[in-house]
Amino acid sequence: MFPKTLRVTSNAARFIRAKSNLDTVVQFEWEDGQPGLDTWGNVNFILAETLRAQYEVKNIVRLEFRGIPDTAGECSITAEILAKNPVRLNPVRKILKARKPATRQSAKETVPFVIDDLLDRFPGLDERDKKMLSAFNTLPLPRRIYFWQKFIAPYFQ
Amino acid sequence: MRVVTIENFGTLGPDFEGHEGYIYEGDAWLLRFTIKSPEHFFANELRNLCEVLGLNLPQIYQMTLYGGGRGLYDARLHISFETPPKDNQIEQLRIALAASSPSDYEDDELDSRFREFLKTTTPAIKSKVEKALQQEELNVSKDTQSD
Repeated sequence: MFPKTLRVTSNAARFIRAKSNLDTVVQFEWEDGQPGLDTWGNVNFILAETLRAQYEVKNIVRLEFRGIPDTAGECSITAEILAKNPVRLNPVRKILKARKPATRQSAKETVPFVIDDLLDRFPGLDERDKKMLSAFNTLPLPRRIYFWQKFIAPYFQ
Repeated sequence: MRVVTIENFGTLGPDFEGHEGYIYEGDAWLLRFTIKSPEHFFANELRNLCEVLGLNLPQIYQMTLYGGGRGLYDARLHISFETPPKDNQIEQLRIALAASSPSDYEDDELDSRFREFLKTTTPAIKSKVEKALQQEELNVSKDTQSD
């Protein structure tokens, strides 16, 4: 999971060297959890969001995790990636567009308390949603990134 | 090289009460090898390496993967060992892991955003995405068969 200390923004990335007229190496730095499948997913998410159509998993040329002492396994991460010039760095999309505003509840209103939601790994999702989530999460990473960029990300801003 | 990790460095005053934290000492080893795919490495091989060598992940205090534009493949792991590994443990790392089921990214940022999307999107958009997802699964299945 992303820790609160996540610092990646488009201005945290910097160009470190140009390679011929075609490729530039862009360096990103941020903090996340210990190396694992989830942090690998996050690495790709951050790079794909920032570089958008320029991003390809195979173009990462260096990925470094450095454990931070005195933390519960947090790491500082450096990623360097080749990108074709001109490179445009985009912000990570965070908020769903046209999200329904939360409605205020009356003090007298009774809110049903569903104990199953506390035990459920997927609270708020029905069977169809769970099936879609599972299908999405088991796609190979490049496909998952492609799917995100093409079908889901446009609904975020 | 001796690796010494000091908790609460420079923070304890004369009136400090409570636990001072730990000081971890270990011998630094550098493990170098190539990987076939970063996805398989992060999903399976890294966990297996920790199990075989009896490590906690934070003992790998630095890890760097390099690639040359065709994917990451060159791995360098700096590990602090309290008890150095035996030769047979190192040897065991060469054994191929059984083919695993598809990687399941169930706790990363894309997972949490997709959940949020599913909870709030309209039925029409959800149906459209569901159809695209089914097509994507078919594409993956075709690719796997052709491999």
